[in-house]
Amino acid sequence: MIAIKCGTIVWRDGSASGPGVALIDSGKIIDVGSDVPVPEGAEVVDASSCWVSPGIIEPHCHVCYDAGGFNEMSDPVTPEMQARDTFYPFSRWLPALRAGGITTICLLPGSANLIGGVGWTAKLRRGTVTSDFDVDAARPVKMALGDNPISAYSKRQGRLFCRMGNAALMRSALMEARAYMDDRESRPEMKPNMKWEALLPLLRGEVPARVHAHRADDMVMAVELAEEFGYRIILEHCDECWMVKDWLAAKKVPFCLGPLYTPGVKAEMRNISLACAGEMEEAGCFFALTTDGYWNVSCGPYMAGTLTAYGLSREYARRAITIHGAQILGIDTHTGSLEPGKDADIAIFTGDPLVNKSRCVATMVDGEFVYREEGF
Amino acid sequence: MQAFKCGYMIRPDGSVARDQTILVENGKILRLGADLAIPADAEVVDCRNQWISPGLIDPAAHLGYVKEPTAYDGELADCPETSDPIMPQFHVLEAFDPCNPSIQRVMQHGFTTVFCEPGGNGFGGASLLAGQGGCLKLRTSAVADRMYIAGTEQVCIELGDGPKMTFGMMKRPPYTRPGQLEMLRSAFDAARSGAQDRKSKVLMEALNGTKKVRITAQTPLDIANAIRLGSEYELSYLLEGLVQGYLVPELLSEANVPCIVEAMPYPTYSMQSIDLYGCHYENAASLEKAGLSFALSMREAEMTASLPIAAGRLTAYGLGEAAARRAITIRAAELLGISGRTGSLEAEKDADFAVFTGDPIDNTSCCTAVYIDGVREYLR
Repeated sequence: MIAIKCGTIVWRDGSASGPGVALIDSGKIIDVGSDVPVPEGAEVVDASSCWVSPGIIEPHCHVCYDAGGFNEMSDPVTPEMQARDTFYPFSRWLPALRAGGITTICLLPGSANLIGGVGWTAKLRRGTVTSDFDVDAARPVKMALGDNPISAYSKRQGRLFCRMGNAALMRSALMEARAYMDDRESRPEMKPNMKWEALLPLLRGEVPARVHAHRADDMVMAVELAEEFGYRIILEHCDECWMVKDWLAAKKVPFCLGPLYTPGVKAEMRNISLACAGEMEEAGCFFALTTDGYWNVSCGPYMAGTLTAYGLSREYARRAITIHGAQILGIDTHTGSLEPGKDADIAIFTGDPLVNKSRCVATMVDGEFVYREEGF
Repeated sequence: MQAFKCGYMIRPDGSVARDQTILVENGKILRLGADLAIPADAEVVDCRNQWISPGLIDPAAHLGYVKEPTAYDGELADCPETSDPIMPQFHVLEAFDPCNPSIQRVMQHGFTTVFCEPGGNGFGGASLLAGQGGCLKLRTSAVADRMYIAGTEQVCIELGDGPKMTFGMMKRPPYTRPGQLEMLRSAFDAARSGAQDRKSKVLMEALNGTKKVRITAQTPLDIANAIRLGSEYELSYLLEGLVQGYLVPELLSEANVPCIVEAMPYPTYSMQSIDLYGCHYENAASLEKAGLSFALSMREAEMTASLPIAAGRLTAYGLGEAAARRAITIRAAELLGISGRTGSLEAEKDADFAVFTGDPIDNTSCCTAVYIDGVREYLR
């Protein structure tokens, strides 16, 4: 049994108060609160001058591949790719992420392809083989609209020159997959096609699509396609969300917002705004925050904090890097908040995780420290 | 005349003074202090709940030459000119588009001056000797010359993976680090032997110390090569980048040259460059401990706006808060040779300052007003 004496505890609703105690046994949180006694014989971790937060969850990133990247640009439609197959357990980025308080990441294929492949959720346990990092979570289908497929294919391969091309090729792939699904049901003996097989969980409603859409028209196109083919959708990046605020709020589409601090790197990001997170909170939208990062995933907490200077509430910002990410990934029953019965995924900071002057001093995954600063 | 009453004011040494008044007249700071008599005709600006900082300075900005909105790969950038790896005659003023929206964005985060450096823009595209950069005040103007501070040119060299990638991809030399040094030596030697072409004229100014040289180097190997080049040609030079400087603090303090440290690690896509792989938050603190006084920078165009937050981030890993504030104001001005007129709040200097809701290096603060030469350029 481990007892963490906490100076301040970040709660599920994003509020923070303390002091308190968190009890951990066999990888799970047993109890947490201001009046929880430290049992005799428990190993005591003194974080009484620190903030104890749920482990940070990055729902959209491209980290820990070693060489070659995460875009299989042999074809714009590659649903059969698996992000899990590009994960390198010995990546030098992994220790940096753990040292930043990150406990769970979702790796997604890149956005060069209209259908890039299948994402993979991983817990940053200590491990040497990929299965050490596995989590029981749905594997979403990564899609991309907008500039990226166009710039990836127009010059190099002489195809996909505009958004019409994106929409048409995406629709044609989905129609083929749907026809395949119907065929497969009526003729189970038919030879399986790996490509369309990979889209069956999506069309059957078992996993969501996660669609790269920076511009408002791309967001609308993504939702229209999802409605046409009847699958669940989560939007990614959404720089222009503030321009279609009412539409997005009415559709109740969840989204991963960000990164919001790299304006202008491509045309589709030109209307990026630090103030949009606060506006979307006010409009009643549900979103998690993403760094879309490589090694810099570890900057997620304080980049979320930066948005509080432009209108996002601190409570929402804390939820957007923890429980909201867990909800997006469908693992919120196991992780994303400090509650009895949940996995002991915990990040300990010298102060509010949202503030750039705070530093992560220890990170715990499933009840084991995967990072502990010297002297803590 | 204007009187700014501020709750918190950042002093030249980076410390914070409470309840100060700054008197501004004709674009200059007239007087400042705690108990100043405010002349009856002065317009009082009430910032008693706010912080006033010297206008921020990025000494290695890549601003204004990457077209917006842009496409991938910086293909619309007006810099660097990679038809030749040695382009000392390239002047950044001819690439700087004063109407580029990124300039306003950077200014609105509290920046009043940047050194605009020709070179890579964060998506690669680094050149070897990209040309001359210089200082610009970020006042609103459609004419770059009206923003430019004359005589602030520095000749900008980059060593290492950046130029290797740029020219390697085009299958053109230099292919290796020794190849980079060889090209630079040939160019300097030609200038020294009296060549009268436009390149050699600029390089001669570098050789006789009229123009400073800055050399970007990230890894210990590149840092050592930069110092080698600097001492071989007795250049008056600065070192920039130094992401892996923590591996060679003694080399840097022995060289005793001014340094601009990249405030890495920070969110940016350019981290795919292997040179930047070995970056650590502790880098700046370990260089401070080695006795170096340095400025901080963000090398990417868009990231200059985030420099104050990045500087603050480094304080979580051991850099002193006052040193962090100095590194984006007065220390930068000193390295750029403009500390006589800007970079700190002192009498007779230009009235370049920014108003913040809190400490500028704290990420929960934001900039609410910017004054350049006493003119209000931004109000939130």
